Amino acid sequence: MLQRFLQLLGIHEDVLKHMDRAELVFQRGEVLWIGAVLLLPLAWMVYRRQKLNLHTVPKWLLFTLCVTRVSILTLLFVVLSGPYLRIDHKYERKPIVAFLFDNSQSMRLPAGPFETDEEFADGARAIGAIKEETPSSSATIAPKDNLTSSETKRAEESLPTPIVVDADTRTTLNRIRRAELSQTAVRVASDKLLKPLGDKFDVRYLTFARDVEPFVFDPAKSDPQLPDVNSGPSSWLGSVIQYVVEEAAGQKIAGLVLFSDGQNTGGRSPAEAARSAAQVGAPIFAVPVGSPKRLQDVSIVDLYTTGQVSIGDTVRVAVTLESHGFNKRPVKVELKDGETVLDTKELVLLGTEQQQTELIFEAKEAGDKYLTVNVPAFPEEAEELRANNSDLAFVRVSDEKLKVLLIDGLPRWDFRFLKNDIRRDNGIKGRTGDEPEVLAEAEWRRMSKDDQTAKLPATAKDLSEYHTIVLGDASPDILHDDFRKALIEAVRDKGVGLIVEAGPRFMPQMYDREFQSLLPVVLKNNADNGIEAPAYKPFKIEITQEGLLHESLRLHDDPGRNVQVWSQMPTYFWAAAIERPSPAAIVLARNPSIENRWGKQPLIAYQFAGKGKVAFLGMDATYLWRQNVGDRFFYKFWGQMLRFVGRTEDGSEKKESRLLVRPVRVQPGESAEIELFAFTADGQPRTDATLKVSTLGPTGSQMVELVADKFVKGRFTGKFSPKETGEHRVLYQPNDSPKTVEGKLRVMPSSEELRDPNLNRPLLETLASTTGGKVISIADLASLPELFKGEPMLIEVHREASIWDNWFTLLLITMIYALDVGLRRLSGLS
Amino acid sequence: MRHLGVRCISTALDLFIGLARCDSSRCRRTNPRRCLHTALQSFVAVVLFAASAHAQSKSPAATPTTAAPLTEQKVIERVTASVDRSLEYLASKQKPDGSWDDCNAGNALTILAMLGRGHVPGRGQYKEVLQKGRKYLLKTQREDGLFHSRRQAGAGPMYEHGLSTLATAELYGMDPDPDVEEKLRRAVQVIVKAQSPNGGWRYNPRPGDHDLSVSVMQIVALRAANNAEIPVPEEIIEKAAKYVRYCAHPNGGYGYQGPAQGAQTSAAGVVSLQLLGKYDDPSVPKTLDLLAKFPVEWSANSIQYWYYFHYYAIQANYQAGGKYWNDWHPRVRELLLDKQNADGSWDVPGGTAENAGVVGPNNIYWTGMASLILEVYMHFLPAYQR
Repeated sequence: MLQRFLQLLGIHEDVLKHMDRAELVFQRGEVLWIGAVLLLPLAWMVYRRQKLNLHTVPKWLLFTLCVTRVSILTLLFVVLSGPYLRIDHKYERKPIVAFLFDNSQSMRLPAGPFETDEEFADGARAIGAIKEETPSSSATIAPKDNLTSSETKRAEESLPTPIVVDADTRTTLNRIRRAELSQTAVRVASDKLLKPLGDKFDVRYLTFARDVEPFVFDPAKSDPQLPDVNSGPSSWLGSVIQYVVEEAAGQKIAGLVLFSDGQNTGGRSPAEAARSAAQVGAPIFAVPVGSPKRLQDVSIVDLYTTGQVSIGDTVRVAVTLESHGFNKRPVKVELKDGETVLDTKELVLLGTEQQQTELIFEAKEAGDKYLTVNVPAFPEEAEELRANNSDLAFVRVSDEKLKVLLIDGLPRWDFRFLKNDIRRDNGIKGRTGDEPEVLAEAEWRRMSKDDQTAKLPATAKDLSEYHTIVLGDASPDILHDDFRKALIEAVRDKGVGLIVEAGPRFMPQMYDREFQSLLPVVLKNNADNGIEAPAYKPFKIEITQEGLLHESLRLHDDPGRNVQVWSQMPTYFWAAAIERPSPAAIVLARNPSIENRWGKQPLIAYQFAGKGKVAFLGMDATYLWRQNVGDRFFYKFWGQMLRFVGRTEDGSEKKESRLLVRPVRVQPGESAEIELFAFTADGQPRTDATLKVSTLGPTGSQMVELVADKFVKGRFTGKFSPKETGEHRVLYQPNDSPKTVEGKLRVMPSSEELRDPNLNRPLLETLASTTGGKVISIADLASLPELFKGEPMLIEVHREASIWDNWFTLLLITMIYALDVGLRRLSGLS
Repeated sequence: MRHLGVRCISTALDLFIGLARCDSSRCRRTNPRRCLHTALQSFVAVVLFAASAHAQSKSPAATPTTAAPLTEQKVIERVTASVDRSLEYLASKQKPDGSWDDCNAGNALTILAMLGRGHVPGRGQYKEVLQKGRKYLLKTQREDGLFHSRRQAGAGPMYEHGLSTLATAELYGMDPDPDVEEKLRRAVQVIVKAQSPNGGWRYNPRPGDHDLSVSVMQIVALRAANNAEIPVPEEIIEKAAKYVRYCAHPNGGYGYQGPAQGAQTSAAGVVSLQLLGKYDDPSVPKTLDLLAKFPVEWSANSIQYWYYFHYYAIQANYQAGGKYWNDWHPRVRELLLDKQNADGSWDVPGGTAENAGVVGPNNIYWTGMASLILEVYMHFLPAYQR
């Protein structure tokens, strides 16, 4: 009864289950006392007043109405005194033992090859297929002249008894998948492994690839129980360890048992996660699954293209190969567009040394191209490993040339590298000639006035002819008032794209509010020449979730590699004095070293300013992204950003709907962004709050709702996460037009997973040693229970639960009021 | 929930007061609306209790990640660590006046070595080292624009002038000192005026004689200045290219003052044509094939100026790319990494002409050169952008 009452008051069942004692306490006891003192006189006053006013009513009615009034008064005093329950409850907290099953693509490879008898014996023991020891006659010692027959017999008896693994078991072992072996081993050992754990520990089962998924493991079932983790075939070991530590939320972890081949292709660093686990005293017991013997394999370990080219360009696809077990074997590397072979190169493989080659072709027609690079598999390569013999490269061939203007103050390195790159980019030209217009203020100042005017377009009409304008750290002398007015008009009214790269001398702190209002950032008050990092603590760049999806920051088609690339970018020492992003800004990258009440300092951001896109870079050292790779990442970023912000409309053309999907390639389960510019039949931007598009995958379709951008009319955005591999089409069918607008997306599993498919025992050993755990043989799981340390803890918790701010009290008040009003009405008093 | 509870209290109070008022029949007749209002108040609490707060979720940062590194990452780490140690050594040898050596070749090479690792004046670990070094270098420029050293490496100042101009050109734009721009322009003018009629340069800043070993340094300096948007007459460029071709041997290679196949000048010749934009000159691949035959070893052997040769040879192969780069750079890299001293400096193989008496003391020249050779992996110096 009490428990029911407490439940009514909103006390959680879990608390009630463990409740020891509940005590009623008042926050303001004095109010209760005052109420107790005043209640009688007040009740008397109520009664007197009622009697005076309602002298014609029956006594019972008078009495009832008095009671209702006094009840409400009483309730008021009680509520004002702040009653609450002080609840003590105890519960048992068992230490956690988590079994982590790696279920990534590499775990679907065979657990073998097993070669030695000992390896077979361990494997057989693990799957419960071990035979009983054979009679000792099979263990013999050749008779020797100086040994008697009894001595020989004693010697033989001291020999370790050999384990016989029959041929069928050997075959089974050489075929069993790594993930299956892990699960089977746990099932076989369940009596000695799982049963002893049940009482003392909170046993949890988790499977992981990229994401982590808890599941229920039933040792009685022999069927595969590991659910498919819907996150693609990546292996994020560090992330699953971190997940367990975070989910424990202070609960002791007696051990993490990790069944894995030690391959890690993304997510949190395993070493860092292991340190976190060590800090909370959570040992990792690593169970290596897989063979350390390098499998015979040829794999494509890296693939790179510029991504965006123009018709007539020579497209270069740089391929890096790695091989093992095929030394001095010739191999042909092919570049294909569908079934058409574009180029081939021959190589002679050299052991495990990486080799590079470049495949080329001329871009003849516009469009998106998904090119395949393929190395025909050798017969000796395992079937499962042949997936790493090919990879996909994406190239967008454009028939348009972007007109670009680049202006900077001094010729800083970013300017020098960029100007050379855009001059070499066949997809970029100038307003007046084949080369983009490039202007360094230092040289401009030395020109005659006439030449200065000629070199610097300063009317809105001239500036509107550009697709993209890039401004560096130039002074208000060259970017004078007239220029800026014209620029603002060109951006807002004509949709010209603008990229502003900050600098310590002028940009953007020396410019007026009108110019700064174009930018997707807000400067600090009295911002002077930026913020310098101390030598011992340089700034880093951190990519946001939007940045990871964004085409301009996609330096690698593989998302895991993309994250890795950005996380390894060199540090830098200067950032613009930015306070916060503008309200309409999309922040693509941040400076995590500087944080205020608006969050981390935005470093790369963009927004729509009228019709145009404006991107801002708050650092002036993107040349640092050239470290070790040259133009590869530097110009991939700049080339993509130039095109992203570039004006896409020609004022003379009728506005037509268009749809973009970004990025063009994702892994299963990864998010892709849909951007739709929707216009009516007469060219007006659509004003719906939402629009629907359909996505067609290899086996099915779904609808995705896009939400209108409140800052840009006609722009709609949304996200979807395709799970099936293959080509997906995103279609928008306007109501008032038969023409469907389409975008494409290719979904492919991570090519990282099978690049190095062998057992990475050193990583597993590191995880174990860092955390005070051990590496355990898969045949020896029964030894685990005694390694888990920890006792269930009895936790006493004191809680306070308010008992007046709940439905019950409200209902009571309402019922009393209703009774009062009801009686009055029925009696004709109201 | 607490604020909702307070509303509950106030609602109850209102109810009570309202009910008290409603007792009066006169009140009921004259204020029917008040009674209705009172009745409606009872529903207010229901609505208030149904309210709930929603926390606005912020877009989280991308999860920081350090996935399994690329296989060549280990190579990158070794090179980076080696260069960092060498710069520490060089920084430690800077004199109070900002110089490292009485010869500006050493000063310029050290500044270039620091820039080549991505350090710039005014920022980071070596900001003051670079600022002092820059100040010293600029101070050595004469009124006529020539960078003048207290000690000359060759028979005249043009070796050092070429290197000093290159260093100043790379500093330009990354250092706000307006002196840098002005002095760079004057230094470029010295080079322009000193070009001989047949396109080459020699030890002294006047047109006349010529040799490829000095010429390459002026060519690189001019390329760097041109890259910094300082105009260099097209005629100068074409004459320089013509001169280099004049030194080309028909079977590959370039000579000191005419066709030959010397190691140093062959490397210098290839780099000269490449940086002059003549990547497709037929003498280039022939010379690269010739260079590939020179041994990469820690001895003078057929290479009299060991660091000079390797400084240009690695650039030549880098600019060419492909099999030339693939075959050349690992051997040079491993050799240099192996020969670095514990203090971060390098020595020179015995028997070369680049002894301390020629190139200066304290291993400055050797260490600066070795750093620049390894820094080809960094891709920071704009003058050498492929």
